Amino acid sequence: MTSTKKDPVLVVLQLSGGNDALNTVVPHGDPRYYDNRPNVRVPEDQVLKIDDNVGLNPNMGPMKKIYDEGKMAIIQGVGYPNPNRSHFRSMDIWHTCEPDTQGTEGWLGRTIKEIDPNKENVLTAVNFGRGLPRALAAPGVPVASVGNLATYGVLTGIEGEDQRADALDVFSRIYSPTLGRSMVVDYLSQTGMDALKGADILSTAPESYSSTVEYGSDVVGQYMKNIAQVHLAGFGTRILYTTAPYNSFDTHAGELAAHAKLWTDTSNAISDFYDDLREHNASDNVLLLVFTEFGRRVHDNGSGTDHGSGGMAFLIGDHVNGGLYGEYPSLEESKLLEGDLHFNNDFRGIYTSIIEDWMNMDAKPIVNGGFEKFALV
Amino acid sequence: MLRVIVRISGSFSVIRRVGTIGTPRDLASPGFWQNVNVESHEKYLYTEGERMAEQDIALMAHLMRRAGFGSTYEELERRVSAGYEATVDELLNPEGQPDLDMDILERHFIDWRDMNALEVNQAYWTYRMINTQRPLQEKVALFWHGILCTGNSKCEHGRQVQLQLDMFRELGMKTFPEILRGLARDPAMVFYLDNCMSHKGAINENWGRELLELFSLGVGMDDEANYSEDDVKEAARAFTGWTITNPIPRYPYGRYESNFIYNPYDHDEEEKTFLGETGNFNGDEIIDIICKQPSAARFVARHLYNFFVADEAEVPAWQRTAPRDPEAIKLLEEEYYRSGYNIGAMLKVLFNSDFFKNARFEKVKSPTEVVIGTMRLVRDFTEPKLGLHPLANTIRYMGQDLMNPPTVEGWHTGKEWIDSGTLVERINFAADQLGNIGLPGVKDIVSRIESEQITNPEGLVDRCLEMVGSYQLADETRGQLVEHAGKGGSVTPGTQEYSQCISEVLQLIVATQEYQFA
Amino acid sequence: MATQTISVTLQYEKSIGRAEFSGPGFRNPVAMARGEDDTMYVVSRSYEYRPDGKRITICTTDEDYVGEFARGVTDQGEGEATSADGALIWPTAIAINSEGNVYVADEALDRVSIYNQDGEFLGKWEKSGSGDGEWSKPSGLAFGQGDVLYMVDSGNNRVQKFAKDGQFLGQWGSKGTGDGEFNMPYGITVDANGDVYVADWRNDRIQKFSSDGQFLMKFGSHGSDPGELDRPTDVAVDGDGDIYVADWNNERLQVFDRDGNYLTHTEGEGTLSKWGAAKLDGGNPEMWHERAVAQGLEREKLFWGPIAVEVDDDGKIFVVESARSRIQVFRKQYPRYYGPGESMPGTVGGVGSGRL
Repeated sequence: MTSTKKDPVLVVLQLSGGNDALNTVVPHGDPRYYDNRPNVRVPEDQVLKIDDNVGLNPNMGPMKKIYDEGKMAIIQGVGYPNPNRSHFRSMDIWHTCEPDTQGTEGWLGRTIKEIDPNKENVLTAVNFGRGLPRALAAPGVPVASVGNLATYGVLTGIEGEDQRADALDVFSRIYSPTLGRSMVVDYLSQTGMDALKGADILSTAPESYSSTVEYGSDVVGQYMKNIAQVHLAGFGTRILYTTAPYNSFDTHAGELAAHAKLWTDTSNAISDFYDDLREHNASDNVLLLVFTEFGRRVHDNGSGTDHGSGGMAFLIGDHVNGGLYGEYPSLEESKLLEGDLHFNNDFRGIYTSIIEDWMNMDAKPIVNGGFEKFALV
Repeated sequence: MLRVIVRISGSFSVIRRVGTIGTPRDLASPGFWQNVNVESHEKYLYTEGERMAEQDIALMAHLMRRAGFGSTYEELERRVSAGYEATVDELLNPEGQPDLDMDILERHFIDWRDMNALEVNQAYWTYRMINTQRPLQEKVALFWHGILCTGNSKCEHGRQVQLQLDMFRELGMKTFPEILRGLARDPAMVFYLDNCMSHKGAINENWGRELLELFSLGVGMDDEANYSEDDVKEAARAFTGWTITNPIPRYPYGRYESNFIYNPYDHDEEEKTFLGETGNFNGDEIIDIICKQPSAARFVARHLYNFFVADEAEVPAWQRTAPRDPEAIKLLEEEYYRSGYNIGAMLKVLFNSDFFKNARFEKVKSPTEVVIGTMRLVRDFTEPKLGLHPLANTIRYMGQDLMNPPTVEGWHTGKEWIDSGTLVERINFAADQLGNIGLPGVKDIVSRIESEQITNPEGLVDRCLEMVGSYQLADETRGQLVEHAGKGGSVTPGTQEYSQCISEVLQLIVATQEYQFA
Repeated sequence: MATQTISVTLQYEKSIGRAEFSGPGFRNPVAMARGEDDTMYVVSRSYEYRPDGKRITICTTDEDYVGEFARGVTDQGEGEATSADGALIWPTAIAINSEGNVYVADEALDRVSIYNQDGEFLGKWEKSGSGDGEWSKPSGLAFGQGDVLYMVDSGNNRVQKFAKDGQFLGQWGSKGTGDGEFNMPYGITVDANGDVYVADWRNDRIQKFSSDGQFLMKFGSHGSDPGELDRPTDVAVDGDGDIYVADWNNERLQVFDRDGNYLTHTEGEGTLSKWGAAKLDGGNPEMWHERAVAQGLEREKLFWGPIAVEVDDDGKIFVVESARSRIQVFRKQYPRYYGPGESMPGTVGGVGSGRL
């Protein structure tokens, strides 16, 4: 399964809950930021300054280093028309590229279908975490979803090699696609077959892995490690996905302390991940996208910030053209949209850049239309 | 009941389920046997009376899966004798059944008195669902927990969320306004949706928004908005001053729960206009206005249908997706108004309706239903013992971190429960349990089938299917199981091979697609 | 209820402990015993999710931390406590013999583990069953005269007697509600005369026996009024013969006279312990402010899960709270009669011990 040529690989880290863009990429040069954030603010002297206008949250030191190396693009003011402040809905929009209707297919599901139309590799995409994000879902697209990389397999409890082989044989026949059953059963059947195939291969990844990098014990750190393990195992996996759990970025209250911990863990995980890949000389075909479903309101609520719009995204990798992209949304009162940052850049433009300039595919059918690209990679 | 045993073979899918081919008298007539090949296999044919009994068992299995977490075959038989409607009434009146012996449980699970950590509470709820004699009470608590969501990830005090579940246990089958009033005063919710941060003149609209969007009216019905952004703000204003006591810090002795308090000095006393009505509303009046709305009736009816009857589209799609069964929704909406918004009354209509009785296996089981249903079947953890925490964790691994939903919008349900990862967890878990011949429930199934002297593969597979809850497999799948059961040649009741064969059949049954449905 | 009772009150002294999975503190403690001098041994049961919190803490009555042993480990995987020699899973009781050796009962393992006073593992008794010298869910331990060990064999609803080497000496009791019968008995103690008291847990009463198991008396019935009991978990007797009962479901400690007449009770008066204050000073200073503005802080005084009671030779009464990870310490106050030749406390000539 070792890939001989280096196909581009996309890693996605989803920051669920709506990361506060204003306190992540801080517009320290704009007094209106401090006017609007009497309580939940990053003091100017603590900002990791990128230029006279913006800088990173002080807990993002490891990411600032990557930025300074020119390997991180910061896309400012990201969003979509008619922003939705519901987590569920806004995340769905990011996942499906369907701002107007309830989509069921994910943009990465469609991407996987393009990469591997004949489903030759059940590990073309691997998700780490419980439950498959809708971004990866598309009918007939197998995605391995792994809670624990170390113990992954079907009917693992059946004792005796022959008995288990027999049972797996029956299992594979029961789950082979048949006609005339309900859509949900068909979906189950396909999922079962995918699981069966993927399991045995995946279970070998931790065995072949060794590294000097020690990841943090937080969920994101551990899953970034698993992503590195699978990437390094050479299964031909092209898309790897994981999620910061529990909607942790939903900082309605007590934001300053919570946000500091979140970005400490996240920056360390990202930095460890790249150190690990470089140690194995395996970083140059990897691109990491970090995104969140929306930003937060411009004005703080005393101890936190409520759901807003106008978020941010990061792209990180050896081939990324580092720097700031897009215009920082204006904090001027008249430019705000119902008290929110007005988005300047459609997220589908980022997807388009990734799909076309990194994955080398046609983005229009995947993101549902043509969107302006950034020269990100 | 008269049981007729005949020796018969051939492709008798006609009679595999039950004896639709005739009465004992028919069987006795020589003409009947003309087109039947008789070989060496044994096969039960059932009399008409037994057929009815099996149908009753299957219906009761359906009711108990939905209104509870499933039952053993023996329990189903008892309940069938009591009658369907009597069982519904019993389920709807949980106080008639004894609660758990909490003294014995707290003596063993010493951590259940203060219940500090989330994991302790998850273990407790898991045990409770397995052992409760009030299954609908727990199922209704689970129902509301998935809609009126509060997550431990923010509260960080498992017991506080557990106390909210106690509120659902107490009020869950009472009226919708009572439930919302309980919710609005629930300290975990007040904290979770930041109402304690919402002040006169400086509202935090989180609670006001979710109360309308997720807890009562929904984003829209029949493509119309049910409320405006102004209604959100006005609702939030009406709930200012609804707050909680300052907590006692967790160190050094552990957390204490916070209590709800009303702070009149922080309550916005100005006039509000909410959903077209104007007045100096306080929170309870907002709830009263909400509960009158047709969209509230629709909201409750669709959620009840989606949870108890059949999987609907995901909740956010309801604005644009008509109900799967508009007649059923209409019936439930009518009962909502007729009964004064009474959830128990709606459930009674629901469970006694044909639309419910006919909706067999129309729902993908939630992880909780998979784990609890399987445990109730194998009858493990019926008394305090070690291993409860890892058991509770399996629910989390299947994608449902109880008391800690991913967002305030709860879990994606139905087909969304399933992906290759969670499916593997489900199959492995259930197969591990049913493969353990030492467990009392598995033993019961084996000895029951043994006592019936069933030895042919078809009979074994069919009887096993009935024993685990009258599951119906696709013909292909059933064929595979029958073939597998017959692989080792004939098996003799009373032998190790016989138990092993039944156990293997049970393992494969719970590994099928069909077992994933309730 | 007898009419002639003397006025006995409990005076709160202090609280010991804080909630910790290791180091100074306890986690869901279930039992304690006083060792030599001012040392004490506290058994933490913790919970399945955190087996690392299972341990026996050695400290002094002044809250000087000495050490810990039998600490649970997690290296077998999440939530899996080890059953290796010396380890604990569901500990219930602790008793120290005249040599200072420590005996700990475990109801999950049906085991009594024996350690020396420094916590070094010496051996174990492990005899699951219902025959003589076998047990099921041992839940109470107490040493009597001659280092005879009394064990509450809860699963078999009886008391068994053993020599210190484990030799079976006798047993009494069976399931029931009559005199000398039990329903899931829990704690046990032996008084200065060698008589044995058993917390007959699910019968909501205390029973008293002679050292050979002769029924002597009983008191208590189900309820929450003074003198009534709701699942008493433990019993202790002081030098005067007064009886202390951990009235677990009523969240209180009750005191009875030697005849079982109700004297007084306390629902707890807990305060910040020495270790507790140190926890706030060291890294959590904001909690001082949180305490200052907390509403309902008076709840901190109350017992939560008073599961064990111990009286030491000095007359100090220790109440172990399973749900608060602490021990509240009390002293008994009562009117004293000083007869000829006796002198008042604090004066030359010693303390009188006469009683009305």
